[in-house]
Amino acid sequence: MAKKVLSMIKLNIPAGKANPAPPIGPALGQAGINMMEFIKKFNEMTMDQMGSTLPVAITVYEDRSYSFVVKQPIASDLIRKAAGIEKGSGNPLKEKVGKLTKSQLRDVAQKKMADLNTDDVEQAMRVLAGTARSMGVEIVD
Amino acid sequence: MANWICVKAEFESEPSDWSIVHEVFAEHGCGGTIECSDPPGLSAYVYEGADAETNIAKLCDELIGLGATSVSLETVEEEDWAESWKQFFKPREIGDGFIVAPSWEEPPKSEARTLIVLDPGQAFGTGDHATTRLCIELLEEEVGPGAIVCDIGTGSGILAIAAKKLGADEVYATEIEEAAFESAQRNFERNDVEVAIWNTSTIPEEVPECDVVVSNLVSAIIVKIALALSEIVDEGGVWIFSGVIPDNLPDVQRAGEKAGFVLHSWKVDEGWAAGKFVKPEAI
Repeated sequence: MAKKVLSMIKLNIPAGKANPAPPIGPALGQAGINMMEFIKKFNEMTMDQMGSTLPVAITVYEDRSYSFVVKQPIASDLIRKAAGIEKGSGNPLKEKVGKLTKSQLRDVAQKKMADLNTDDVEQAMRVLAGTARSMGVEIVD
Repeated sequence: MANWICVKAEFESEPSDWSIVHEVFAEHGCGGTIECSDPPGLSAYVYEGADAETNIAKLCDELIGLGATSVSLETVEEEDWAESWKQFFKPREIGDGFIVAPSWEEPPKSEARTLIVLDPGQAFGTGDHATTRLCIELLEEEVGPGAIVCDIGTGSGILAIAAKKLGADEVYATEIEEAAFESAQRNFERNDVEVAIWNTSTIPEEVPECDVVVSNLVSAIIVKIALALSEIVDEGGVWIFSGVIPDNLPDVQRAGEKAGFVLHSWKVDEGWAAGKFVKPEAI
């Protein structure tokens, strides 16, 4: 029989660098799951992606056991890497900090599609174009 | 006691992508964010340091600028979560001969098993995790009276204590994190065992050639220290490693072999691999 789910925790945390400080400490402590165990496993799994921020969804069951899924880096991370910039613009309307071609945007969309709850690459591209614009990254042909 | 301020931004509807909101938190020094669904929102923690007030005011403005319908603040004491997991740490039998119990409970009476009393604090190692259990099982196979043992990255100190209680003559330990180092020292006292420990990331000169070296770390670090460990494992001695996901085992094996070890055996428990390298005797 499937175990009863107690709660679902969704975090966005740096790859390979999880520690007991917030937000992980309070989020996992309140759920009653073994924090150090999660930290160790997450860091081991994501060490090779250091520098990225990764969404992780943790399912906590009634017996305080848990499972978790690590997703693709957050969209802004993928866009930054594809555009070759260190950070987004503080004033995206006026100050543009980088460019992304449609083909680059499509590559990012294909990577991130499953996390955006869509199997339509055009739809994923529209979402990511919105994120890119908010970062001051222009989409060009 | 250190405090944190939990900043929670709520939105009318869930955006298709939270990353822009996350970026704003990250720019204000938050180490990560938590997504909530009802109502949709994102929260993060700011350390209550000297600039916290200005930092939080700016953060709130920016979140409202991104369309947050409300931003709430809540002070959280650091101890809140550090303690909360303890209610789930109960005495448990580990390996063939140990029972590990939390220091805040009446120790269980067991004639057949050796008691280890622990308060891990924020350090790793309650015996609850497969990587620790595997190490204790391997220590039981390898450590006997008279042995010289070194535990690299001792965490709560559980493995060093187990080695001493298995009869090891001399036990050495290192720990890179200060909080874990202090927690290990307290656990050595609690268990009345003598372990020489250093708060360091390197191997102290004082550590002699050992019969057994144990390292419950992560594969990237195990790979990195293989060569240094070969200096302190005696010929015919054993290096027990743990904390490796099976996919990374080939990397660990390669690093061990390059450092002159031979992989003797390994096993997997709950998705974690641990094993034994042997340092061959010179012919």
